[in-house]
Amino acid sequence: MTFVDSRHAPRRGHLETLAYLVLLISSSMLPGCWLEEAPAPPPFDCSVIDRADERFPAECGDAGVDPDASTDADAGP
Amino acid sequence: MMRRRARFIAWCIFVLALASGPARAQLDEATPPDSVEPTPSVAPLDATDAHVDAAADGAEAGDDESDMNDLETLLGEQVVTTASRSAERASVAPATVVTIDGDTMRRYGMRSLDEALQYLGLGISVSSSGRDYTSDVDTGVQGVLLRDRNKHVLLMLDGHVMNSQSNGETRLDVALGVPLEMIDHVEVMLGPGSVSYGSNAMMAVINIVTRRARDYGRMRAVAEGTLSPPLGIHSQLASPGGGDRFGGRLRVGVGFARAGTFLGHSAEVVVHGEYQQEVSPTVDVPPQTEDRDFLPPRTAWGGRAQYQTRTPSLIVRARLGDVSLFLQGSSHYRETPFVGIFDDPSSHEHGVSLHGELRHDVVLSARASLASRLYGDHVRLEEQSSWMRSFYCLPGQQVDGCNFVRRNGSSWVGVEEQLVVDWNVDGRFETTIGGDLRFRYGAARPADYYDRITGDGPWTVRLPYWNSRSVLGALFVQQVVRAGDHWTLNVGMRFDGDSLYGVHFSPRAAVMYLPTARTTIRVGYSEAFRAPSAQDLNDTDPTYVIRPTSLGAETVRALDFEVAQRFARGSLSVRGFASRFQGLVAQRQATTAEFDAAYAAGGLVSNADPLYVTRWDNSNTIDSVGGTLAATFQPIDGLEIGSNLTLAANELKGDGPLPTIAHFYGNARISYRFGDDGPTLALVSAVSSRRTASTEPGSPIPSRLPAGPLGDLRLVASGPLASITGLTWRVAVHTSLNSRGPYVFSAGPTATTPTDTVMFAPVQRLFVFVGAQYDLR
Repeated sequence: MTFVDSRHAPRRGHLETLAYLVLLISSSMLPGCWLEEAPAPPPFDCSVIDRADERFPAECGDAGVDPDASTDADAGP
Repeated sequence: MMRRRARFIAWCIFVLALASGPARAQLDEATPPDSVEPTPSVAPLDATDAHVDAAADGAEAGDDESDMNDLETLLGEQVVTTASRSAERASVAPATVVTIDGDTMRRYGMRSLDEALQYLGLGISVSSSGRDYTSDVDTGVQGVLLRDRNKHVLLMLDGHVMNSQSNGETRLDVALGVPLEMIDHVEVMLGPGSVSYGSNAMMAVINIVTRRARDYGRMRAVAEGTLSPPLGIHSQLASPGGGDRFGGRLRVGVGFARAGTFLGHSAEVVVHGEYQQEVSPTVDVPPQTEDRDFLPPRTAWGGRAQYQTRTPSLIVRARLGDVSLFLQGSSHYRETPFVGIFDDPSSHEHGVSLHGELRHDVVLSARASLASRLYGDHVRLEEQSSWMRSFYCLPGQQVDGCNFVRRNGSSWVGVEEQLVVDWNVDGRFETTIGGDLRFRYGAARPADYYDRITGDGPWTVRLPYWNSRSVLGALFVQQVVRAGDHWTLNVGMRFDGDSLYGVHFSPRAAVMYLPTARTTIRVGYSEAFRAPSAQDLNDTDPTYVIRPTSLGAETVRALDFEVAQRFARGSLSVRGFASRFQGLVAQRQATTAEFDAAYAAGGLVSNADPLYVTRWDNSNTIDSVGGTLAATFQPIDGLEIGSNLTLAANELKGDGPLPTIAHFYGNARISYRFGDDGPTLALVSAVSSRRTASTEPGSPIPSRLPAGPLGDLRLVASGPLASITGLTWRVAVHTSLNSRGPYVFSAGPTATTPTDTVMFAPVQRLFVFVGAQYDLR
């Protein structure tokens, strides 16, 4: 770049400072500073879900339980 | 390598040395402080201005930056930079630019930018939503208000864009994080501004210009406290006691500035930090028996509530020779007691923002100047609320309710170049050309749901997430032609290419005719746009929002006409405008086919209700037509009278009138200073006509309830404390004449809830504040 008036050309120190700032700003965009995707839900298992029969009556309540399995008759909504 | 490191360390030492005050031995206090006015250009104003010569003298570009106050004194009118990216007289600017200076803001008791816009601005209507879910403060311009966290207003700090690049949002209230003591003046350009600044500049461009070191003083400290009484049902004033408590707001700030020479260059630094905290007065909300969430011992949604906000902020501005640096950081935390479970302490919003810019100005020749900017920003926002019955939590979470969390963050870096060429060195044929290259990254988890009791995540679906990397490139050109002393033509065009959606052209043309030195007649046509943001394009919620397949840019076309007359002791401006907003992105109910497709693709959960499932679409068109009147008058020394009024009609195609904004609104003010150094007494008011109150978007509550007319009065006394040099004070009493904010929290009795009461957003009916400021010159 040619400057008509060389007294006003960007000074070398300024450009270097500029480069340092670019590095600083770029660093802030590194992974780790960012929101990450939520983990996938665990395998669906009625036995590990708190009050599963209330939360998932179709899957874990009376309606969803194997009739041969031993269950608490009072469970479920 | 060592040499480079030494230079870098020297930079650090420079800032530290200035910050340490007494240790700054190198600074020559006797040297007149030079300044960099944060204008987008250093272009000369006019061939007749003495400053043209000064600008071409060959001193450092930082020295050449026009001293706006001196210029305004010289020219007898305001000098603005926002409309053309260059300093120019307001009378020849291609758009209406209203300037609100920091001293005026202080004199009339303003505490934040939104207050300044409401009480001192033209064409702007500010509404506080009473801390509901969508936003805290909404800003409408020239008859159009969109509840979208100001996506259609471009906010700049010293010419630096502050709107988030992943969603376009910005804040104009205390959350902005710019201390009042740092504000030299605010320029508000009404109408489209994309020709200069690209996306988001659809309704207005607001540019906050910060103080230079010599305007700031050597040190400054401020402390202000606000006290407000408790509010009863329907915002009636209540007496403290029995659980009703006063509210308070504290604002403390301190900073310093130094100017001198360093390493042979003129240098300056200004640093100011502030902390604001507010504890609201208690608010009594009439119990609502409709489907709203509450926890025992409450028996209904309602009762007594209180909220807090906390806002620390810091701003640094430094210059060494031709290079200037600006940094701003802030955090804003606010509780949202009316969102979700009533007065739940976990409901809140927390935003963090960091903005930085390095700027280099150089005068290439008597004809040309070049401004370069290197900038980097980061903003993030987290919202949380708790829900039970009335919200569709994820499957399995309805038993105890859910905590809903929405998070998004955005970072961007870019470089901008602007070349201004005054071909004949007389200001009559001036070309501005430039470009902007911006790299953006955004990421969000727009709808996290956790069990309210156990904190467990979902069992059946994965929480939505998106991230986006995009590039924005822009080229802009503007040509100013001045024919004789009477005619000025300003035409410009900006091309924006956005990897997220495509390209857009934004033209503007304005003709200014000055039949006399004090009269301006201006006609202008402009277009602007808002590109769909990454959030717009990716927003989804498995309970009720379908991700849009595609979105186009929103556009506005505007025509305006102004006649302005300046007098020896005042000014008068009459404007007319007509705008058409097209393709505005809004939520609409999903069609059956869209619902089925989203459900089949796993984008919706099993309990999603087709009646409430929405998607974003370019579905709205708004026409707005109206006019403004602005007048100032200083009949005698010390006395100022002013008023800004707006009359506008609008029409939303397809869904009735636009709520929240009135057809008539404005402000009026009067102040008198007793003697040259005496106290000042000021009275300022904001008024608006009756309007239709707004409900939360998507709410089944009808929004046909009238609110208003509204009226607010603020009486302010301020002045110096004679016994202590540098100490000034101000005391204010504020009252709101109306108890109905223009937002509806409950529509009142229905067939199923006959005992419900209409509830409007609470209005802070009365508060007093006292402040003191110490300036060490």
